[in-house]
Amino acid sequence: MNDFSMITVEHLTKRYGDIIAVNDVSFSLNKGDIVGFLGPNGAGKTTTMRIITGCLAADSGRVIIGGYDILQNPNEAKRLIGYLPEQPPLYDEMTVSAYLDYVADLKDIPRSKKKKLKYMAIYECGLDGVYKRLIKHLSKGYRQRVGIAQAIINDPKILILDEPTIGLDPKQVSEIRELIKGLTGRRTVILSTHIIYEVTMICQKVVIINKGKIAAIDTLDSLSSRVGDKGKIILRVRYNKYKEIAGLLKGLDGILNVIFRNNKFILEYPINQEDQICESISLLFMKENIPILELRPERMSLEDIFVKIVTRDKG
Amino acid sequence: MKKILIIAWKDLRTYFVLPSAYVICVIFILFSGLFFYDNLSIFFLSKLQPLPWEEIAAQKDLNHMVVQPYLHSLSILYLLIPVITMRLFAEENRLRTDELLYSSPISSYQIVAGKYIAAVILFMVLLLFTVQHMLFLCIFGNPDIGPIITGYLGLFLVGLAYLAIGLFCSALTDNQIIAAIVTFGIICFFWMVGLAPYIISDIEIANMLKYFSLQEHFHTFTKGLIDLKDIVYILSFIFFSLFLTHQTIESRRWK
Repeated sequence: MNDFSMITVEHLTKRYGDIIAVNDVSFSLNKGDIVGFLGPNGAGKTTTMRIITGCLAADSGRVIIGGYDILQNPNEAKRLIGYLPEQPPLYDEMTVSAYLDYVADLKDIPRSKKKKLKYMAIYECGLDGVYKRLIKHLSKGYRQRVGIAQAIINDPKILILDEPTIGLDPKQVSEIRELIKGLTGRRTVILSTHIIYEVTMICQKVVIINKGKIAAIDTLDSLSSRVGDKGKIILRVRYNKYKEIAGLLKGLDGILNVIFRNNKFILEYPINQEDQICESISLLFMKENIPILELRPERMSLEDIFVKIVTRDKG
Repeated sequence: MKKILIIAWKDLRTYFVLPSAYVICVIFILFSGLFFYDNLSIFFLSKLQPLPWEEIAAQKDLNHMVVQPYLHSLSILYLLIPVITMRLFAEENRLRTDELLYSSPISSYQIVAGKYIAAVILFMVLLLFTVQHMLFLCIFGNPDIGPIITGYLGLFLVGLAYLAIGLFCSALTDNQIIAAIVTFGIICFFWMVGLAPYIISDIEIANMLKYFSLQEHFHTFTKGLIDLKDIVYILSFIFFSLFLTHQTIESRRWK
């Protein structure tokens, strides 16, 4: 563990009867890391998060938050964390303001800072208009906002969000995403989701969990290069002698395979030579006087990577 | 201590935000008033009749005819205890708000203590409503104050024991109704087990079962006696129930 490490998870294992929910999970996150926990439903994301936040005890392994062990120094460790569970922990009969007061008291916020932090959370989560209302009268999107407000009220160094956009309508989803993006800043953030787009939008790093194990942990960029060594380029031209063009393309350096499908050529090439290949293709067609209508390297999306990793593990 | 009070204050407020506390209060005030009126009118009626023997006349004072039966009938307060305790943990478990508590810097024993105090305060409020009747007696008659005070002490202590058992039942489930029914069942058991001598012929077993009955211990208090064995039994009952509650809460983390 180095000085920058905010969360260190070592060999976590958790069983529910015969089922192993989390199996020997280890990782370490530094200050300011924004990490997406990605995995199919039931992969062990929520269990891992509940263990990190101290809601659940692991069968073995340990969790260290900002230098404090979550089981040995729970209070010190928990003061560093803001946690939004899958179902926001709200009391319907309280007003937003009273609820946030209660959470602030629970989280040991000193009286002098309480008011300021509370109004900051209200402001940051866009609750200005509703903070005097009863929570039971709020829409689902606003309930989620109140949930996020309770997570950030102690200005935590670590923010853990479990599926924050689940069950919201598309407009609310994008609002909540924007809100989370704004909260990242200097914080270490763990965001669990099964929506891949969310990860590409918010996170720098991805932890892919499958069947309780970490299947991959890396930055978004290096993940894509890890999964396959071949890239694809889509090419469309205004010329109908396709066999002739296919012959030309095969003659180019670095092209591994040419497939013709739906009036488009799909070219496979070694993944790190994208620019050279595009360059030589455009020069070639310029020389041959064939107009290019489309020339597009197709990067492997996180979705493909995810499916590939998850299915690879099955085999 | 501060955290315990935060939890207690929050739960106490919840009682009075929701209609539950008011419903409990109204029902209880209605019945306690009725019982008081009933006992008092019997007392007045008996005063109108000539007394055949001196010793029976001695029995017909305020304490024997009003205070004691009234305090006994206040035991119906215990039947309201499941309603007081049922939501404390069950509702948190159902709404998953327990995750807020567990991920906050607060220990399980503080949570248990906070919720217990909230229930105890509501119970005390209910008891306070009956004090007016005793004041009434003191102003217009001259009952023996000692048995009244010990009677209230007994009522209060036995109530604490039932509240602790109710809290434990609430922690076991995420369904308020189940929590209330189980609490009700346990309260009835500790109430009725005192009737064992009428059913079981073996005197030793019957007496042992009788000792378990909280109602029997309460009975001693209404006679104006404070017996150490009653207090020890009730206090150990409370601590054991609260300990079980704490263990239940902790075990949820390890499941």
